Amino acid sequence: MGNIRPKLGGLFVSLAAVCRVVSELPLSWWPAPSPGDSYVFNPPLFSAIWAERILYPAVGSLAGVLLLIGLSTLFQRDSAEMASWQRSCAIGSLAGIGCIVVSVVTVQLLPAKAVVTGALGALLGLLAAVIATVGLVGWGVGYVLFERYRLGGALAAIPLFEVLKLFRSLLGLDFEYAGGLFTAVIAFVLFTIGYVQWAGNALSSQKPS
Amino acid sequence: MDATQPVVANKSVYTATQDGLFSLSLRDGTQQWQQDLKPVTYSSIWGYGDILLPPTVADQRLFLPTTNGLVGVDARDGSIVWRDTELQATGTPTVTNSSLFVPADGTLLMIDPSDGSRQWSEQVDATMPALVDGTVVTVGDEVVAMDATTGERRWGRPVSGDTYPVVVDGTVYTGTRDGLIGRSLSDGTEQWRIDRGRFSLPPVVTPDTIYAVEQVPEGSEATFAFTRSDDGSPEPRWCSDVGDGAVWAAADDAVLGFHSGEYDGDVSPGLVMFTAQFGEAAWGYPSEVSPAPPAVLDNAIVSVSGDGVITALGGE
Repeated sequence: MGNIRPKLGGLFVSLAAVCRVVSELPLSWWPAPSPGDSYVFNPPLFSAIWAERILYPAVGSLAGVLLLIGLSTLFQRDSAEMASWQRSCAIGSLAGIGCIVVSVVTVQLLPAKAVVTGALGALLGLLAAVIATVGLVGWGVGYVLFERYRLGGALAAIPLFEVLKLFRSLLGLDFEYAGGLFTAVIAFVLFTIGYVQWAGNALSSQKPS
Repeated sequence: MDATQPVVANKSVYTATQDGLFSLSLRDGTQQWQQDLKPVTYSSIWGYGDILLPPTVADQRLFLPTTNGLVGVDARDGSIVWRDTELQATGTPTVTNSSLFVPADGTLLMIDPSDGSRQWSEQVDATMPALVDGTVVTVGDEVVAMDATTGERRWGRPVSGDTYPVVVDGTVYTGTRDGLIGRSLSDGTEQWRIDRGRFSLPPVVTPDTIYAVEQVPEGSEATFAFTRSDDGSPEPRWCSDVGDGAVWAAADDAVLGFHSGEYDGDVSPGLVMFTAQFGEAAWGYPSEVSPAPPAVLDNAIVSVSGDGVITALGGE
């Protein structure tokens, strides 16, 4: 059972990558009607509006939950061998990701009129994102120090590419396939974590040189 | 407003300005004749200020409410056939080949369109009566249904609005300040009510859909498409922000309206065609505030702009 959990965790992280890709597929790939001109009250299944309003939020949230579960098994496997600062970073990143997931789900489930509660949820999500970013980078650096370069680099790369993607969006640096490029890179990074988790050894099997 | 809502018949476009009643060629807009008549002004129910009452047409006869009475005009050459100088219309007449219904200061008159003789009159407030299956329906202080032949009142129901009725498939559709209401044509009983907002403008009804503009206090207006139901209240299908907009006409697959607000898509404020099913803006024709509905043909639209320019779109 002890060997299966990390492998399942790796599978979950890989599935999170798939969900992440699905949740950011271009809406133009879906059949009409597309979002834009009018609000459609009951969009047909598998239409672009249905994908934007129903599928993408659900799959995006699922990606967060799967990532949280997958990284939790990774933490469970290696926490005993971690330095205290790395353990703190890992706990912080898991807490941050958990809060982001709760925040995103809360904002999506709230009625439109609950602006105040929604704003609080968004603020909580922003705070959680900062904690998760710092935590994941620290957690990844810890693995690098253990010469687990792929796992460490991938963990640290997740928030870095997310931040780069956010800045690109905020600065309006839009070029063709820009969003898709970042999503593909982030998905690749998640796949890397999933694969290493599936195939790799526990931290206890290797000490830093 | 310099020109009335255009009316299209007999391959001609009829409109009136302060300079007279005009007939234009539908094909190229060239003037066919002009008659020196001054149309009556009235307050637009669409909230665009005072506008000129348009002519109505049946067969080869035009009827125009003028400052000097109601006038019957031969549509072929513009000659005046009859004039009732004592009849000052206060709303848009409704005409068939054998009947002309004219709202006039709290009274509805039925007139013989061939010679202008009065057949009957009833004390009802009306803007533009609707005529269906021998019943004439008006909306003013109340919704009233009358026998079209005799003027006998069949039923009346109180209403809050200054609109006109739309009657389709045995239902009287009325936009009011209390919502959009559907009543039975036979006895006036309320069948359903959409009370999510004010619907003070007349709806446009097709076999499948009701289009109506919801007015939000201190907010932008929205065109709604409601799916008609045989047994119950219509269900909203889509809505679109249209500023101080209006919905003018609809076919099975599209609805034509006016959009006055800012638009961040490809469609500028002006005439906008939405697809019927999901409200996608198929095309837009930039124009200033359009104070009156365009005339909609099989494959063309004849529109009048705020400065009185008549434009024909599409067609062959």
